[in-house]
Amino acid sequence: MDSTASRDEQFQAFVVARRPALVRLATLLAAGDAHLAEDLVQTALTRLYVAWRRVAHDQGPEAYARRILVNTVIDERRRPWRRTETSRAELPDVPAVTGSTSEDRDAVRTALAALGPRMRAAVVLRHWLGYDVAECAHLLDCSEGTVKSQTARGLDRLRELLSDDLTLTDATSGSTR
Amino acid sequence: MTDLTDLLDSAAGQPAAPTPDVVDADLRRGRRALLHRRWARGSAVALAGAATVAALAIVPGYVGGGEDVQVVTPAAGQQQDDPPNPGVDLVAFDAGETPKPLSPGEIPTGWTVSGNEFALVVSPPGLDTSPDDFVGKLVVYLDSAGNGALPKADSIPVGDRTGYLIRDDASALQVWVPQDDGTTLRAQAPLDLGWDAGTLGRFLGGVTVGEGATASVG
Repeated sequence: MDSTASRDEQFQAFVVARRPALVRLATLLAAGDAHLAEDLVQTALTRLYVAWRRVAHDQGPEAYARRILVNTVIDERRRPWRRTETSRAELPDVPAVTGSTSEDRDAVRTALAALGPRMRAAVVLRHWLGYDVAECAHLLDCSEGTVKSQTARGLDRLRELLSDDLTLTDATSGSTR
Repeated sequence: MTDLTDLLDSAAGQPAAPTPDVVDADLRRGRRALLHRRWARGSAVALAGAATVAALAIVPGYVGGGEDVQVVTPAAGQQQDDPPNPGVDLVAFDAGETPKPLSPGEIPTGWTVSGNEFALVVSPPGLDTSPDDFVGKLVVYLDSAGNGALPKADSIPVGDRTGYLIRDDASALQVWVPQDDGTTLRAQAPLDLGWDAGTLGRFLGGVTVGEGATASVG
């Protein structure tokens, strides 16, 4: 099979199957900003296509795409656009989780926005994708200690914003997201 | 609901499956980016063993690798060894009834034409004919990027237009031709091929840019 056709077909099949999952991850990393999430996904998929041959035989396309998503959102210099995230002296006013899916969704997104990009990524990787500390450290290019501290601080802030009763269960394998 | 994983799962939303248009757009962005990557890589690597060609008759035909590949071969009884002017001679290329979006008017005999809507790639004998690899090949593509300050002193005729020599690459000769729509038609030839600016200009002047040609975006 022609190499270009093979790459194209494999890439298209991957996009059809896994784009929604990448959009979901990007939505969390972007704290619910749909436009930013779409930008992130497009950037990740473009870089994935370029690196397809190497990636397909190495870490796999999904892992590579996730890495690009995370790296792009935590490193503004890598973004194809410029958005300045301002730090806040006070926590935002976030309604407590109520059990209503739509209201909880908005509350969680607002709360995530109160975290810095790296802290947000650490929380999402650990508690949504189910990565262990070592995997998070590798993906975030930092020490395991940094992952632990970032995650702990992130959880503290989310509890403060959402609910004191916020519980943690082991996230399922990231491959199912 | 106070379980964090469940809350994050809800906050992630439930995006719809991508439409064919979305998938196509992702593919096009990837192909454009790949073209830029290969252009840069092809410029940075010199041709390993320049092909020897001679001015011979046209015998267009197809070779393996699919209908996107077309080769001009020497006529029977004619010799390719000891050419009078290695790497310079061009012969007319018959694009047939269905020319590609970027189609050459002339190519070195024995070389193979391939490409897609983004790029025209002409490969010498002995190299692969893949349009995915630019190293050691003649490459033409449309670029949507601005031209910046073109070196006016290095202008050359390219058909009925004016092209500009780009000399910032150590292994390839490049000519850029601004188009009416703001895009730039760019061509490069490995220096080892031995082409001068006039020959590259002549080759590029024969390239037809069809409606299906798509400018890449860096």
